[in-house]
Amino acid sequence: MRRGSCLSFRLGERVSNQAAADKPLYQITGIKKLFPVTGGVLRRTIGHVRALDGVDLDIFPGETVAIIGESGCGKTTLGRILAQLEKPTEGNRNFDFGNGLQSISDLRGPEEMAFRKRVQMIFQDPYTSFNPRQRIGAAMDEVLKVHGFSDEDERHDRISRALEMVNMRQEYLLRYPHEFSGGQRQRLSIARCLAGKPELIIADEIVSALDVSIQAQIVNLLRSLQKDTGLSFVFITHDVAVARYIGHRVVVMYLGSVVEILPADSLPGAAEHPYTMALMAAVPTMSSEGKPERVALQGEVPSPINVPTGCAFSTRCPFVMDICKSERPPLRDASDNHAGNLNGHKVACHLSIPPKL
Amino acid sequence: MSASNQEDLILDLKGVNVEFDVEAGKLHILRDVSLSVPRGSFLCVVGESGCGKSVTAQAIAQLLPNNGRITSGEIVFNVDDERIELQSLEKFGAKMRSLRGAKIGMIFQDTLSSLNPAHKVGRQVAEALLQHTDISKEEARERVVTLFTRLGIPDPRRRYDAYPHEFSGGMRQRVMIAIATICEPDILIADEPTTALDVTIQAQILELLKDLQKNEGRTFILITHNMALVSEVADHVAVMYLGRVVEHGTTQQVLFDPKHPYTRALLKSVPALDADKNEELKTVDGQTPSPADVTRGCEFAGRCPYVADICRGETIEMRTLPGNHQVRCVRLDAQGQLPIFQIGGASE
Repeated sequence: MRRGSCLSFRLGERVSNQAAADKPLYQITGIKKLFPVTGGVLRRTIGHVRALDGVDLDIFPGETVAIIGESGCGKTTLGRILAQLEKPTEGNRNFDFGNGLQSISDLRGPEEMAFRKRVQMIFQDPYTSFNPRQRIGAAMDEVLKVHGFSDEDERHDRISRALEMVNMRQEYLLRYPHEFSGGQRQRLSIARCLAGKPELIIADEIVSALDVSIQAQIVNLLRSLQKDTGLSFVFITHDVAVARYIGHRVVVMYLGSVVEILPADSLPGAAEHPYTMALMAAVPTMSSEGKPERVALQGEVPSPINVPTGCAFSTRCPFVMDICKSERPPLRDASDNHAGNLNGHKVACHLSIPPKL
Repeated sequence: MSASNQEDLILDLKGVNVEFDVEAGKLHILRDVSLSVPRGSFLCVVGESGCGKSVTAQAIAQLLPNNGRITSGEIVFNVDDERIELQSLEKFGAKMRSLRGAKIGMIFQDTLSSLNPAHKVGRQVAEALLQHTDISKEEARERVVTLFTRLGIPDPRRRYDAYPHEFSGGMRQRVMIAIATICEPDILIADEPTTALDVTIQAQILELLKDLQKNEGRTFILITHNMALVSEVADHVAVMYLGRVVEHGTTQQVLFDPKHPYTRALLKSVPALDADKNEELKTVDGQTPSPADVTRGCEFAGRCPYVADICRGETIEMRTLPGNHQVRCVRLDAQGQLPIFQIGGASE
């Protein structure tokens, strides 16, 4: 705890300066997403999956926001909504095209394309994200054409520079996807994204399918790209250690809600939400002197069709109180986030003093 | 693996080679794999995809796919004062069938495809018991309910009659563990049992396995690619690369004093929860080659920062360092130190 809070103090200065200087590139508020569940002969809607239950998030220029959570927590849905691949049921999305935040809920035609050019997505499975019958070069060229780069020389130029950035050779452009390994294909997906010079890349579990030695290559690549180009990342992962390593801020999700947002450097020590704490304790770590007693969470994540009233985590929380079952805790400033130390740490929990696991 | 342990090895693999027939010819998938497993210990086999760790498990259980076969070597299973050479048994003969499930339990990764969706889970667990012992259905049912309770499956009596789709991933994995342990096997082989699970559920399952080892004296072979997980449960670790065991020793030796360049690189490429974010992650250059491409010398030579001419010549023999720490590397000196000067300059 001590070490964590002193780290977050140092980081706090940086984040607050940044927040003062920079306006968010992308801001979403009150995002809800319900998927209908149908049943019976007439396929009538009999209920809803609450994939996202009121999410607020700011993404700043040059920042990596890592979103973590367990399967079914809504992190992929959030990524798809950020990339405009999915429309939210409710909520506002605002993007800064260069002259202040502007709503993107009703973008059409050229404006929508302008948004899609700036915000790109990379998917988890590098095997299915390329057309197997199309050469890599053609696949990359097509994306640029769609985004209105009509000059062939310019397209070619952009593609070769993007390939250089991911350390791939020019001759690969003439090859087909099956000639590459998973790690190489993931590099090519990244290059395809970079060619259009996006401002924000949404990366959904892009290293999960790769071996650890290859995963490290991709993580290093993303970090150096950000240093060189200043682009922003939303990095969705279930691997807490990778999230902490690559992210500036870490967003912890549970059952469709954000339960905690904290500076990545302050993890694992500064976590204040009981779920984040349990998650940190559950991550296997290398230590020669054996693991301190682990508080295993009891039970499993409830179904998103029957989200508990009140706090979503109340059914598994070891510190549950009466209020947790009836009232949903709002996302508020955490105890280490105050006037003298604005570090952006927010937590959604009724406990005002962080519990000790 | 001290002298006293050597007398009580439950499982001993000696120079096992496995080949697979493929369209292009033969692939040498397991290369001279030797592993000794003391009774009551917890061995982890680690490595990246395609290194042969799952094939090792399949070879032990005699469940290799039809195009794969053991071409040489011995798999000795010592149980009930009997020495059984598993590789000489007929795959689906009476003897092997009486061992598999009863003496050798197996837990697989993909729970949804390992359970029959059309049968009640309780029946699927009891099936193993009815197959291997002479007890009545009612007794079997009671045994299953007791085991469900011990494995932390809530409401076990009702859950006995539920179908797999009514279970969550973590609960299905508990059912798989129940199937593997209901006959109280002497050794359990778990192939990536927690890879498909969330970390909080993974923690629950690992506690459970560790508890079975400590309190009931079961022997475990856990196959995984997660090094951090290994450090929490294993007594012994074997690291595999391209079909070969490259390092084998106690958890302390392999994870905290690694000798082989591949083990060192692998350990450094995983970010720790307290990693220094200003430092780059260490990477292993290049990709794992195909088993068809490496036929001589060290399998890791093409990616190793310490590679020398000697590495590309003869097959590299396993060496034993002090403390019975086994490493397959010719570049180490007698104390297990790597040369200070390196060509190609990555890591350390």
